[in-house]
Amino acid sequence: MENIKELVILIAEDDDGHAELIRAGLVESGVCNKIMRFSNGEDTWNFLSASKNQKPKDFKYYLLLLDIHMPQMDGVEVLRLIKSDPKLKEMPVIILTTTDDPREIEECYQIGCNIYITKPVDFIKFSETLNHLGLFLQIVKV
Amino acid sequence: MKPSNTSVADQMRQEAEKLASIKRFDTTKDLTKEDALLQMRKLELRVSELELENQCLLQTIEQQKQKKTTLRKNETFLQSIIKTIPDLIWLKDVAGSYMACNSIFERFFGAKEADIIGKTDYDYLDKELADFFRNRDKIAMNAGIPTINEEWITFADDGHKVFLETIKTPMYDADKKLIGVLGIGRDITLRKEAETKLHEQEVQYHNLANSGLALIWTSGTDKLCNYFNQTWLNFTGSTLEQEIGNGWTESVYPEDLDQCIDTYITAFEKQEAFQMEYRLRHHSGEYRWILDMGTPNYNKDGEFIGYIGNCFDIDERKLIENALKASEEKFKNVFDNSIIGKSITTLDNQLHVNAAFRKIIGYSEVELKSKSWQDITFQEDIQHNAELLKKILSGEINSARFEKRFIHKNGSLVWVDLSTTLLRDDNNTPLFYITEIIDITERKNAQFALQDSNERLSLILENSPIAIWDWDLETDKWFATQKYYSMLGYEPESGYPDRSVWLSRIHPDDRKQVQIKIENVLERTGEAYAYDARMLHADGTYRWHSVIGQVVERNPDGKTKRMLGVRVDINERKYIEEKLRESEGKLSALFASMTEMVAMHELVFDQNGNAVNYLITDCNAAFTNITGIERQNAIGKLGTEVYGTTDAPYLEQYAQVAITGESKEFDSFFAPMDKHFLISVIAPERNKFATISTDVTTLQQIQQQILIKNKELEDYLYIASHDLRSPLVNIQGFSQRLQKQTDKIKYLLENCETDPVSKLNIDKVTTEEIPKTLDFIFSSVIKMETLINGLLQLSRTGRIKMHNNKVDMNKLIAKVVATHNFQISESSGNVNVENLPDCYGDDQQLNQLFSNLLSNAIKYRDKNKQLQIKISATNAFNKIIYIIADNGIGIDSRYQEKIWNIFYRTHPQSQIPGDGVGLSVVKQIAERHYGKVWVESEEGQGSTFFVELQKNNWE
Repeated sequence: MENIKELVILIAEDDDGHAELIRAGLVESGVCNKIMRFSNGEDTWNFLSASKNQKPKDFKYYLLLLDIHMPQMDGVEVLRLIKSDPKLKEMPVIILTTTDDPREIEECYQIGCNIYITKPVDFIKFSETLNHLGLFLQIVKV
Repeated sequence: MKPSNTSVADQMRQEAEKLASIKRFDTTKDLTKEDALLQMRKLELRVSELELENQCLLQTIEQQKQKKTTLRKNETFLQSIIKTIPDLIWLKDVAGSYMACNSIFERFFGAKEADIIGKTDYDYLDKELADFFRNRDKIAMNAGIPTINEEWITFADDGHKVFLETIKTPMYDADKKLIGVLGIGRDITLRKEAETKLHEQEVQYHNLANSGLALIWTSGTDKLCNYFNQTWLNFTGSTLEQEIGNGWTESVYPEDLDQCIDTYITAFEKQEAFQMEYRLRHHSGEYRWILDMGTPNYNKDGEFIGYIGNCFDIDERKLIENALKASEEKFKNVFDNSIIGKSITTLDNQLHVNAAFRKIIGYSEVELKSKSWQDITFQEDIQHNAELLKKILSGEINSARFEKRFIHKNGSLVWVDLSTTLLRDDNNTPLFYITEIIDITERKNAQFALQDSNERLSLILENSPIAIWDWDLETDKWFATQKYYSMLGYEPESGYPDRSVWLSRIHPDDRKQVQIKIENVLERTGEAYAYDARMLHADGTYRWHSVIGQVVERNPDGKTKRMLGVRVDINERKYIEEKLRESEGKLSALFASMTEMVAMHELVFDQNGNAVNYLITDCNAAFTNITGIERQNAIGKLGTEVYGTTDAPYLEQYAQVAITGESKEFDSFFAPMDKHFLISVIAPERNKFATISTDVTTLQQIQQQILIKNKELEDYLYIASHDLRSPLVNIQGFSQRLQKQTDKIKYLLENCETDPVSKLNIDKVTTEEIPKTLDFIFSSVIKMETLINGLLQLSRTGRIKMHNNKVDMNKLIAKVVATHNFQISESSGNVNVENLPDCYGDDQQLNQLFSNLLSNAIKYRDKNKQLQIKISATNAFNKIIYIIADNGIGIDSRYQEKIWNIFYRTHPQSQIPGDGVGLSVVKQIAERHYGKVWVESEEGQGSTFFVELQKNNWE
């Protein structure tokens, strides 16, 4: 239970509106985990590559909600870096993007994303999907 | 003892008569005692008389009984006689039906009496004979007395023939009523023959006797001659005394004497007539042949008194006979041994042939016995032969010689040269035919072969377009085959055709040169002439003829004597030549004026048969223009020389075309010239090829640019549509949030104390105005999303990398149809897919293409009829056209061009869902496959979409 408590949701999203909508969606569907937001790929990666060296007592589990189209470093690049990093590759990554290009979807799955979701997000379905994956979010019934 | 009946009765009768006479004198006056006594006596007598009569009657009955027995015996006897006698006995009724017959008669009919009874002659005999018998029966019955007739009959049981003497006796019953006719037939064949012979002899005898030259002798019962007439004595020169007794035998030729005496004595003892021939010495000393005929001599009382003989000098006849015999012998020899086939045919058609004849026809003598000449003659010849024989027989001709066909025993035909003559005697009575035959089969066959070949030749001449003529200038005799005339539609002429007419038939433009050519040969020294000229056909048109005339004979002075020539209709050739010239002209003009480079090549092989180079044999002006290589520097040169390369450019591709004959088209950047060419290679004949090359350097560059621009555009579109989507997500998301927030305000307001007016106003905003605003936002968002999705889809289609492969179109369409199965069955549609050829392309994209077309066909179906979709294909060179035809609502011709535009919808307000992208995607996919799409449609009738794709890889 402690592990679940410690699950932090990371949102990598360049569009403030989108980020706000995701956060609001999660909150409204009762998720009360800690949420961190990054507005580009580079920041996200920097945070993740720094966090892998954190001390065991500060260790946190992350769930990354990753947008693809972002300035500087795009989501696909971030995903690739994560999945090619032995320490980070176990981290669940959910692609949240406006693109429903099947080839792009396929590419992401090939790299190793857990779920690919196109915007706008239906958050009820979203949390159901997460449960199927075995990711138990801290849900507070409102 | 009783006295003899007769005498007693007689006595009594005499007594009674006496008494009666007394009474006659004494009348009835008075009756005395005496009278009474007499009366009594009379009565007594009467009694006796009656007794006697009674006795007589008894005797008569006894006698009749005996007679009946005898009669029965006689009948039995008669029947056995009838059965056993060799005569035919029968009884017929008035109508001709048999009532009885004997066993001999049974044999005649070959049937049993029981079967014969009740039948008539018509049941057993042919009509002619039955008619004859019936007539005879009638004659006998009408005459009422027996009649005799004679006829030949044949026994049905063994087929032997007999000459019958028949007595036909009409039969009557007790009431004298005619009941029929009795026939008794006696076989008198032998008698008849004897009679015939006798008759002949009698004739002969009379002939001789009438000649008055008879030598007559008589002999007595002692066999010794007792008289010789003067003629005899004159003949022998002896006296009667010398001859009497056996003296005459002195004069008989010693060798003949024994035979002579023997005949005489044998006949004498039987008292039979005899006839003999012997040689008797003439008084001149020579022996002469005598015919001596002796007959028994009887006196008036019929007593045998010896013989009387008549002799005739038959020496001359004998000599002739002997000569004839010798001649016959000789003839027979000649006949039998001749190497020429000979036959004798009698008038009754009996055939006698010699060995040579038999050899020719293959039958043996025995086999020929049962054959007539008709049996061995070829069917077709029989009538002709028979007619000739008839003419000979009638005397119209004496003999005939003709060729005919016999049928050899082995079935083959034998041709013979046959001469036949009818032999007649001095009275001109025909005797028999003598026929000679010579086997001419081989000669005939050779003749036929020659005939065949002649016929064939004339057939060839008649059917070939060649006319032959022969001109004897000296006699001015002219001969030409029929074709000479018929080839120009004229009636064939014979004799001396007017050559000036023929000259006039030459086309005026050609006439002069023809005349000159002919005159050259006729007047001067030319050996032959030949010309082509137009000749006037009977139908008024001119036809090209080619004529060759050859001098075949010259006079000693060198002048042409005879010419032979041929005339051939070359109109077709001329026509073709003309066309060829035209076509060549066109072709070379085309060749010269083409903007494409055309070059002709020939492959060059090494000693192993590998193509190592090629020779340029021709090229056009464009070749020089584009490559800068002068024509004279290219023709006859090798590819390596002309282009200055180590290997001849494109040798591999060119050789493949030249060897396989399969044309090829490819484009290539030719670095040495820095040019881009589109090259078509074709092989007009083996190991040769022509290249038609187009300089597409500029075109290529433009295309390249277009491609780049298109790519840019697609990228731009992609990015733009993607970027447009992002704010849209916000608009949608925040609008939703706004909706929720509004609900929240409403909730808060309800639990808040506000004045009713403000509450009412706020309520109006939250429940009416804000939701209305949001509705507009949402519907716009949805619309915009659809547009963006469409753009995205289209741009994505353009961007997707193609994975080209051979596509099994049958499989692909089956898959597409399967994914639409639900909609198809929902609309109870029917999809008919024919066998489809494969094409080349990206199967995912093609799947998309056909899916869009199929779903359109379903979407735009005519709700009033059952949906019918037919998918078929046709080959078009190296492309395949797939055809998707539906019977839907169709497309107005005004919109048929626009349907391919993005977001264009023919029925924008209809309930049919659609993003207006489907056909744009179809078009884009087809174009990416170097293909095309188009539509043919009639509103209300349905649409037919055509998708043209490449058969082979184009990369």
